[in-house]
This record gives sequence, structure tokens and C-alpha cells, in this order.
Amino acid sequence: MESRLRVLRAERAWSQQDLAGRLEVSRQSVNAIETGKYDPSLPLAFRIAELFDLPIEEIFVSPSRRSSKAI
Amino acid sequence: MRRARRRASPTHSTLGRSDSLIEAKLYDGVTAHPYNVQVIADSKALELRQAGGWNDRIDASLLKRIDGGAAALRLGRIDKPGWRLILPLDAEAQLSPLLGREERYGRWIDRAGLLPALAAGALVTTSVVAIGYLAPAWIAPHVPMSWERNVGGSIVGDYGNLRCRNAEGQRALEALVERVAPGATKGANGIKIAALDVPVFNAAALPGGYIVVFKPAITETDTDALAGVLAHEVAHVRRRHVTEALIRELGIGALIRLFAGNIGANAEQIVSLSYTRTNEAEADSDAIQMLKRANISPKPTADLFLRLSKEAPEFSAEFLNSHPLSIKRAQKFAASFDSRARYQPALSRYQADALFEICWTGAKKPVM
Repeated sequence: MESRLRVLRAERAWSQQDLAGRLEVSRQSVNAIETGKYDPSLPLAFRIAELFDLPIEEIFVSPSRRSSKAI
Repeated sequence: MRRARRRASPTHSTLGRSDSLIEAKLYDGVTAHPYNVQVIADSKALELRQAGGWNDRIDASLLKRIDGGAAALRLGRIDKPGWRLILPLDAEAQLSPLLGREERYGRWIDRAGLLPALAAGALVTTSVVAIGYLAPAWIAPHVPMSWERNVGGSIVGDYGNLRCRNAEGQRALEALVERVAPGATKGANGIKIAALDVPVFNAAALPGGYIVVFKPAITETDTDALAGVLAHEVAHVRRRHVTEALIRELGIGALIRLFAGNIGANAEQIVSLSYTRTNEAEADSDAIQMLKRANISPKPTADLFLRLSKEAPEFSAEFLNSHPLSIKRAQKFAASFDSRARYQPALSRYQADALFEICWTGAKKPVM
């Protein structure tokens, strides 16, 4: 699943490790989510949304609304 | 009573003898006719004399009291069923050294007295109940690990295709156990750890030294916190808490059937066995010691426990059922944090990458 996680993290000048620490997950999780290799569970997705104070859909791109060129 | 005993002593004088003559009625057990007899007691036997010159000596061991009217003391003989000697009640004092005390409730109660006997009964009852509570902890360490192996093995087997099989990931998971408990995975009774691709947050110790850890506990947990969770499970295994919980929840009978290969209890029931507070506290203390020796920070574990204890339980229900969390438990881990210590990560970056991908097969993307 695509996400804006890398952008949001960069805006705050956090490393993957910084973000992992704030989310209480491993750096590998952050990396895998950012690269779209891993879909977080809903509880983790909500933790991410709460950390950035954004609705989930502004962080994760709904697969059904993804623009056709991305496919 | 003392006087009577003195009179009945074997060293009595002839005069003493005549003093202790007791008039009694004898039924010989053969005819219905009562004979008037005189009874003399010494310390070993009763001597019966009849006016006609007949006499008989009956050893005390042959005599027994017969329940009966309060008006007289009735004796019988063990060897002659119908034989009865009816004595006046006041003969009791003289004969009691010979006959022993009257049996009212049963031999040992009479000997001890009713109240002491009741107290002893209460003590026995309390002990039996107490043993019921404590026995699991006594029995558990004596159950051979090999008996449990099959049970744990078949539970892991029940998960079948859900078992995560990435070889490098498996090595990293074993390395994490070894990191907190060096040598724990080695040997015949070594701990066997398996990751399961099940979307619940949980880790559990199973019979036979198996530990299972579910995917979110790997992919959505700080590796150092996972080290703390695994250390806690290793402690449950080492202290035989699993066996103890099985005995407590299923009973020793079910446990034996289980070991005999009749796995009546399903995997879920065993995965969600609950431990006593004491068990949990012991496992926490052990885990804190293991993290300290391994030079791994206890803070991520404290943070995880704190978060899970506060979080809505839907996601972590499984974990909370088998590991009731409290802020207190989190604080215990937090309190062991040493700000001067130079903690090391539980796994190298390479190992952590491999562990994260343990449920990855090939190039396929993992799906929650």
C-alpha cells in the first residue's frame, strides 16, 4: 500500500529509527511500510495517524482510488 | 479410678481381692439361663466364680464392650458370639484399666477425644484444600519435559501452513532467544520457537518448551521489546509454569490423557492458558534479569506493556488474556532501566531485517 509516510517523516526531519521509536515498532516496520512492502494493522495505522494528527486516508492511499497510471 | 487400678493390680493382696468382688449375671451363649457369678478383675483377666465352685478365667483380650442399656455394663467375648456378662455400672471404674475406654464414635476418636478429633478433621480438610491449590506448583517440576513434547509439537503442527518458514527469519528469531537466554535453544530439552502468521498480537509458551510468537508481535513491535516478551516466555518454560497452568486448568487426569496422546484440549485453549499473578511476577523478574545480563534496554518492553494495558483490547485481547497486564508490571520493567548502562540492540540490523521478513515467502508481499 502506498503511503505518504516518508514525506511526513522527512518534513519533521525524523530518521526511520526516530519514527520507529515514536511508534514503538522496529525500524524494519517503518522501512517496509514506507516502501509499500508491508501493510500495517489497523491499530498501527491509527497510531501513525494520531502521531501525525491526520486522518488515515491522508497518510495511506486507498488502493481503489489509486490513479490508473500508478498501476 | 486410681483406687480401682491399685486394687486390680497383679500385686494385690488376698484381702484386696475379696474387696473387689463384683456381682454379675452371666449368659453363657448356649442356654438362655442367667448365672449369678462373682467377678474379680486383675490387670490381665477377669476371673468368674460361681457359688457351685465353678470358675473361669477370661483373658482381657477376648473381652469387648457391647453397646447397650445405660443401666448396666455389658461385656461380650470375641470368641463366643452369645456370651454376655452383665455388670453393675459402678464396676466400670474397676474394669476400665482392663477394658480400655468405652468406644462411642470409633476407636481413634475415642482415644483422642471428640474435640481434638474434630480439630484434627478440620486440619485434614484444610490441608486437602490447600494441596489442591498448591499441588500444581509441586507436581509441575516433576513432569518429564519429554511427555510434553508431543503436545507442544502437535499444537504447533495444528497451525500448519500458518507457520512462518523463512529460514533466515527463523535463525534470527532463535538468535533473539539465545541473546536473552544463552544456550536456551540447545540440547534435547531446548526451547523450540515458531512464528505464526496469525494476525493477533500474542506470544505464548506451550507444553514441551515450545514458544510461539504471532506475526504482529514481530512486525509491529520494537525488537528490544520482543526480546523482553520472549525472555518472559522463556521464564515461563524454565519455571514449568505451563505444566502448572495445565494442571490447574485441566486437572491432572486431563493432563495424563493429554500426554498419552489424546489431545482433548484444543490448541487455542492451551495457547490462552492463564498463569497466576505469582507466576507472572516470577517470569517478569526473570525477564528483567535476562535483559540486564544481555545488556538490552528494558524500556521498550515497559513501553509495550504500558501501551497494551491502556490500548483498547480488541487488537491485543489474546495477549491480555494470557498475560494480564498492569501499569505496575510496566513500571517494574521501567524501574530496572539504568541510565548509565550502555545498552546494545537485541539484534543486528541484518538479523532484525531477517526477523521482520520471517513470514515472507519468496518475493511475495506479506499480507496482514
